[in-house]
Amino acid sequence: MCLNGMNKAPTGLSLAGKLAIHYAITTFAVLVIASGILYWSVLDHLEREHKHLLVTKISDLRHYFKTSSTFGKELHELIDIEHHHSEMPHSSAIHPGVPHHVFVRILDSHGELLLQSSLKQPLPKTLKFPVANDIEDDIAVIKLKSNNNQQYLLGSAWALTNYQGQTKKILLQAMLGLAQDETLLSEYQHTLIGVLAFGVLASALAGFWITRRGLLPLRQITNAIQTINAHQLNERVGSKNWPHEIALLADSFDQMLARLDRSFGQLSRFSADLAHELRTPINNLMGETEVALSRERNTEEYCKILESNIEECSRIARMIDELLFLARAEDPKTEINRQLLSIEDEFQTVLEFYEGIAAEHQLEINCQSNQIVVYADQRLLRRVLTNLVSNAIRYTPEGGQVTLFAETMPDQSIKISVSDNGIGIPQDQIAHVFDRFYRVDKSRHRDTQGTGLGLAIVKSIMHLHAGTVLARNNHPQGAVLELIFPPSEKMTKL
Amino acid sequence: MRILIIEDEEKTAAFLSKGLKENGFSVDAVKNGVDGLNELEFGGYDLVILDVMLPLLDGWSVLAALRSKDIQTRVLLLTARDEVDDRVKGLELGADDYLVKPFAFSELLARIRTLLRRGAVVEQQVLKCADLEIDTVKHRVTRSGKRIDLTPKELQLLALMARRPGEVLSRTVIAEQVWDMNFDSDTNVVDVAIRRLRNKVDDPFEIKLIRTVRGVGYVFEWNE
Repeated sequence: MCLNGMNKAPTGLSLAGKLAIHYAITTFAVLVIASGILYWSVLDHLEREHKHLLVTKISDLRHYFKTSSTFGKELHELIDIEHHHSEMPHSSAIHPGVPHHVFVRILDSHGELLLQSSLKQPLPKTLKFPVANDIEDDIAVIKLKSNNNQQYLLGSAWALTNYQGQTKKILLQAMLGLAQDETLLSEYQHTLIGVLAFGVLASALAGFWITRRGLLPLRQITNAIQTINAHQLNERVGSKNWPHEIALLADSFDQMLARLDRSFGQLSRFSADLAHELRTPINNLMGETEVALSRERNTEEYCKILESNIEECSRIARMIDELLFLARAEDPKTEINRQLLSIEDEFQTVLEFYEGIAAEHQLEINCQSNQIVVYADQRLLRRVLTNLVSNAIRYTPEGGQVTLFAETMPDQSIKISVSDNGIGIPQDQIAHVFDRFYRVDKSRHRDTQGTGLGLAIVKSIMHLHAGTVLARNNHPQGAVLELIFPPSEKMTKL
Repeated sequence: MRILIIEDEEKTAAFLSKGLKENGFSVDAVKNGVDGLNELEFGGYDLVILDVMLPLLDGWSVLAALRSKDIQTRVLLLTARDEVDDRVKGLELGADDYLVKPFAFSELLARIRTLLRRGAVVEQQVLKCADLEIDTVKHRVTRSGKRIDLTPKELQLLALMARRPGEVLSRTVIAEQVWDMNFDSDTNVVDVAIRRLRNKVDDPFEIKLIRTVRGVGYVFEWNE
């Protein structure tokens, strides 16, 4: 047998490649989700921070006007007019050190500009402050995008001030440019994309490498297995210190090897036995014929020789038939013709078949079928029963008894036993009685008709019925052969 | 009755011819399928013994050609292959019977006789051979007017032989016909049964009816 013939070029992507792709996809998904969440939380935080900055500025101004009505130095500092360089600009908590200039202007109730922060850059033309609500403490805030695509946060609120004894309303407007944030966010985006790309690539490479390393024992065991061929079936691969998963595979493979080894052994033993079994009758044929032809003989003598020859030929023909039967029974495609059979009828048929021989040997054959029905192939069941009864008769001395008995077991399987009170089976040979060409009494077989295949045939017929057969010794003497037919739906329907 | 043997193995053809001639058949033999088919087309054969493995034209093809030309000669197939599929194929192609090598000649003879009298058998209720009389319905056996007690199987065995006088019955055929054992069973049983039957039917009388054909089987015949 050529095991190399089974080598095929591997088809499809390698396991390592597949796993690397899976790793990359998983990493990509995880990174995308994580960076998305990060990005949006940063965005949200910035927005809240800025709004807070704007609202605080307006509140501070409101508070100022409540207590003072002069547009003095303090106010200038508060609204950041250019010549006051001592003022510390507000800085964001998110990016400390980067100042955020809040532009403020103060208008009177008619919309006349009273005061405004010094401009660091021209105000966008389309800038529209929200309409301040006429409610105390309320500050209206909107976010706007100017026509030069810059974002601004705008706030408006009314404030009350006591001016020359009169309470006056003044409008406070504040503006915060968000250009810096946008730059920051876009940088952040680029960083995230970079991290994403690197992560995916790194995990794909790592996945590939880890898998290849992980699968190294698999390649090793493949190499180990490839060295085994039909002549080295006694070799085993499981002796090395394999990782757990591979150890299971190696173990299964070893078990398969053991089975193969056994089968090969059986096969070669069987061939040897077969040659031996054929040798004996053929030797008789050749010898007898040769001796007969060596000189003239009378008709009576010739007839005797021919008769003996045909006996040997029949033996060989029978052996061929039985071997073919065994070979066919081993073919899993073999189908048998099962039907419901009355065991009583089958027992009676076998009884009638052997009544003559039983009477001649002064044997008693009893049977008890208990009205059981079995789902089996009639021809094969008869073959089993005649084989067993014929064996029982062969090994039971005159005056003995052979008993056929059927019973239903607790699990609904059906047991048919054939027992005798003959010489029994030597204890050390019980395991072998179902082997092909096995005979308990090696010296006796020439005077019986057996081919040594009877019980092997019984076993294979039971195998065809998904049943079992076992042999044991009876108390106080004799042998029992038990056939177990598994429960069948057909029988339970009855 | 004319029989054609189409068989390329010379020894087989020779013993078949010899055996069949000695049993009263007129026999011709050819060695390949083409010759066989030619012979058959001229007609006149009652039965053909056809080997499956043949040179030029195999047995399957001969059979198929024969049936397609509507020649209804009975066909007995011989083969060394014993696959169930082969058996089915043979019968589907129109073979009348199928015999696997190695076979007993008596078996072949029995099959040929069965094929040739197919459809023409009327089972007689009362069989008479010499001074033996068997009533198969009343289960009565008498010889020279003396009643003989037989078990049902013994009666069946006797009736089987009496219906086919002069025909050698092999142990296998007997086991099959009497006990319905359709396989190569313990043929010792047949010898014992015959011995016991002889005890009752032959031994007490002068004319012996059952003769042993050594190594082959038993035949029912008597000299008047």
